[in-house]
Amino acid sequence: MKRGGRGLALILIMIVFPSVNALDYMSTSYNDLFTESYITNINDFPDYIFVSFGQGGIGCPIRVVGDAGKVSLYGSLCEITVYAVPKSSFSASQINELKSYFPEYRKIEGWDFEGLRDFVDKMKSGYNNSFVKEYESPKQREEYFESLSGKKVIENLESHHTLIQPMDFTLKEKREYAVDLNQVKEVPDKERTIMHALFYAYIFVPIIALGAMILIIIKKKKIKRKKK
Amino acid sequence: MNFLAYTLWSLPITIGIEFLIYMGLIKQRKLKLLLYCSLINLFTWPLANLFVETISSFLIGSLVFVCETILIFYLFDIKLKKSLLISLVANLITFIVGSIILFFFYYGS
Repeated sequence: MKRGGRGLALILIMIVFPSVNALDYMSTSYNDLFTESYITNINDFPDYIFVSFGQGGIGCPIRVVGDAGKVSLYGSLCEITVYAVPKSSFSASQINELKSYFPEYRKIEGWDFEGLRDFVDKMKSGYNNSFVKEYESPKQREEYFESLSGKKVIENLESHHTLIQPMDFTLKEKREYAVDLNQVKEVPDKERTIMHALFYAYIFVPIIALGAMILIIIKKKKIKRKKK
Repeated sequence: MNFLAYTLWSLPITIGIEFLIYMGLIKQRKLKLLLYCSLINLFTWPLANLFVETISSFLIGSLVFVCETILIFYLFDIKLKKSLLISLVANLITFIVGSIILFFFYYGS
C-alpha cells in the first residue's frame, strides 16, 4: 500500500509538473513579424507612379510605392490595393505631397501612448492638408485614380507588422509581385519566409551536443570492454 | 532582440541549477558534471524551445524528462532509478524557479 501510494505520487508529479511552463521552455514576450510586399518590376514603368491604399479611411492612407518597389507598412487590418497612375496625371507638387504627407506606419512599443498620439496627430494634420482629403472611402479613391487613367494592378496585398509568439522563429514574410498593367494580381508571384538566424542555431547546437554525448558514451563502453 | 532578451538567458540559469543538483546527487568530478550537464541541456533546451509553440508543453516537458533520464543514465554510469530521481529533481526545481521568475516578470513589474 505504501509502495502503491509512493508510485501514485510519483506518477502525479510526473504528469503535473511538465504541463506548465518550466525554465526549460518559458516564454515572456512577443516577437515582431513584418510582412513586406515588393513590386519587383517597378523600374519597367518609369512613366507611372504606383500608389497604395487600404480598405479603410484615415488608418489606411494613400501612399506612394517607393523606388525600390517596397509598399509602405500599414495597419494589419488594411487590405491594400495598388494603382499604377500615369505620372503626367499629377503635378510635381502633388507627387511630393503624396510622398511626404503621411508618416510611415511605425511600431508602437508597449504602452507608448505619447508616440501613438504623435503618430495619429501627424497623420491627421497631413490628411487634413492633403489634396486627397476628399477621397476618404476606398471606393472614392478607386474612382479618383481611375479618373486619372490609373490602372488597378494589385488587390488584397499585405504589408504590415504583427506580433507573434516568442518562440516562433519567423522573422519576415516577403511577398513579391511582378505587375502587369492589364492584370489585377491578388496573389503574389513569389512568397518567401525569412527565419531568425537563431532558428538554425537551435537546430545545430542540439545535433552537435547529441553527437558529442554519443561519442563520450561509445568511448566509455570501449574502455569498459578493454578493462573486462 | 526578443529571443536573446527573453529566452536565451534561461539557458545558463537552467545549466547552473541542474549542475548544483548533479553536484549534490552524483559523486563525480565537478568539471565532468559541468560538461555533461551543459551537453545535456544544450541538447534538450533548444529543442524544447523550438517546439514549444507547436507541441503541447506537457509532451515537451515529458520528453525533456525522459531524454535527460536516459542521458544521465548513460553518461554518468549510474542506476536507472537514480537517474530518474536526478532528472525528476532537476526538472522539478527548474520548473519551480521558472514559475517564480515568470510570476515576478508578469506581476512584479
